[in-house]
Amino acid sequence: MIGSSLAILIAVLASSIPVGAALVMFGLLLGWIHSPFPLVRAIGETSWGASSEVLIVAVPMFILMGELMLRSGVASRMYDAMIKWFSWLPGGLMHSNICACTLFAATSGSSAATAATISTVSLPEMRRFGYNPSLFMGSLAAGGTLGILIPPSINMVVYGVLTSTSIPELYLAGFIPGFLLASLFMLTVLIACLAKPEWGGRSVEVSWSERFRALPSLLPPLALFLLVVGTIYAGVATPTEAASFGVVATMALALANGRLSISVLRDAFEGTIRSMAMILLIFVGAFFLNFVISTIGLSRQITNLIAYLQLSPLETMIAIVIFYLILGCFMETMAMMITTIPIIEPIVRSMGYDPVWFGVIVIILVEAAMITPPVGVNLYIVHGIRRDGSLNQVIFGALPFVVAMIVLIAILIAYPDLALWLPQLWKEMR
Amino acid sequence: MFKLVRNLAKFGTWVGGTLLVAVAFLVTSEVLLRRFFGIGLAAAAELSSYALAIAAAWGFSYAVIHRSHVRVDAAVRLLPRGIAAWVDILAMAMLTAYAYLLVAHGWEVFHQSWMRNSRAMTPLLTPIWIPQGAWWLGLCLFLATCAVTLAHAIYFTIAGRPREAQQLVGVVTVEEEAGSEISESKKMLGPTAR
Repeated sequence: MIGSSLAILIAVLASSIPVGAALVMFGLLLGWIHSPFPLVRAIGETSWGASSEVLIVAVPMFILMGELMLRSGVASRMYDAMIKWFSWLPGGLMHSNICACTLFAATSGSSAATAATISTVSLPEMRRFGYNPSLFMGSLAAGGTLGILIPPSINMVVYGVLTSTSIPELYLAGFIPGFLLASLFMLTVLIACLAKPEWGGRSVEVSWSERFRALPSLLPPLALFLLVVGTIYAGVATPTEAASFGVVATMALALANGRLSISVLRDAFEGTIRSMAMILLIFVGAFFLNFVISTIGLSRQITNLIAYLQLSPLETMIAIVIFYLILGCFMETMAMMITTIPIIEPIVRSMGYDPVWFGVIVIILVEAAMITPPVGVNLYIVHGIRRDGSLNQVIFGALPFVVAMIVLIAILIAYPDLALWLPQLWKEMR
Repeated sequence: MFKLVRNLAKFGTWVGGTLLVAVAFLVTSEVLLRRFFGIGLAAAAELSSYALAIAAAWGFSYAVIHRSHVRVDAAVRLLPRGIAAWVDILAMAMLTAYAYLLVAHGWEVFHQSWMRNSRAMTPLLTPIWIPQGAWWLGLCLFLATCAVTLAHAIYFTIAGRPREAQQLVGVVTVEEEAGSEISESKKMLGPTAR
């Protein structure tokens, strides 16, 4: 049953049927073959249930917040401050790229938005200071992916809902790995530029007084971060409520900068609705499919099969990591998560891994998927903003950062507490 | 017909967007009231979940028009253009079938709540058919958009106008996808984007 089901699923997905529809059709087929009951009747209830899931409300809120934020003029000033503070390191502006992405990630739940925003302000500087385009663009594509590892994170909300894992705990678990990954990215740049100093570009002279005068530009992002993440741990708000604060605050910020107009709202709405509709349609399909899978007993069979294979937990985890690295090359990341997590996470849990820890691992794998060809959206974003040169330059430039991600996964497998320490601390404090 | 559906879908984004903003303000004020005045309304969470369902349902058709519903296209890209055109139509037909299932079974959900006059088990005691009705209407718009798009795509393909069909149901390449993100960020950053 597992083999044939898997073959059908791959065939349905590969025939380029929209993922949501593919999941439902696959569910219907499974139900028709393996169940005496007309499971199709459940579509109504499961779709209403899935699309009125209150935790998911945070997803469109973060998308809307990101759309408004891009239009609010916060990013360019922030990047300017980052240049002043970090450009003295070997590799100069590339460190500013990564730091700007890190800070932006702490206010944005999306990786594509992070990459697009920071690339637009930084790519002109690449030409001006003579950087190696490949590595420079790689640092942008990879830095952008931090958007979903450092909280808030749309993908973590989705993971939390799919696996009934606490979203505040997931957020906390993402912090240390997030900053660790940013440091690994900077280390990658540092090593590359020590080996090949000509990649580094000319340095920018900045005085200390200029540096301090640039600091106020960092205030809006920090305030937003406190609002959408801090309030959760202060016990003021749930993650969904905190996301709503973010929308209100970003609107206020855009208004204060004189950027709020009907046309801005229209663009923001259209962008938001398009992304959320895309996600929700897959989500609804996946909900129905999961219902079918558990009804016909397929999930138990999968767990049995894994037990039968007698792989050690570590071997299973390595297999899962490789599986996601390959799948991530071909599949849009949100679709990949919603399709696979409900099946893979129970296996991982049954092996004794912590679901919060696994959530962080999945997010890092999703980040890797965003910068691996042929379907790696951040590669195309950075390439598209540059307009000239070849896509291969970005692909090769991003590769060392994929290695950094794999290193981080290895570190987290060896030292799970790096992710689990903060959530544990928080649970004890409450 | 096509124009009408398009305009309705655009209207749908305003419905959804306005609902989301309204919910954001509602939730924010509820938390403020709870925090500073000790008034617990406990209505915002429930209303926000309805807003999510309605905004999503009304947004599905806009995503159809913008070809934003994700497809795994790695294999299809290898096919010759003539066959790929029909694969695109098959994909659209499957989306239409999905929309039909949602409308047909969504109706049952709405109809039952209506007949039984079911109310949410919350302080608001919302008659549940109200949000479900708005949700179902959005699903109907989704089905209409799919059906009209499918019909046009078939017509264009048979009439030997593959380019127009491609614009309706073809795969959006990742380049195009990134392009829209980029043009937006350019527009937004305005003068700083040199």
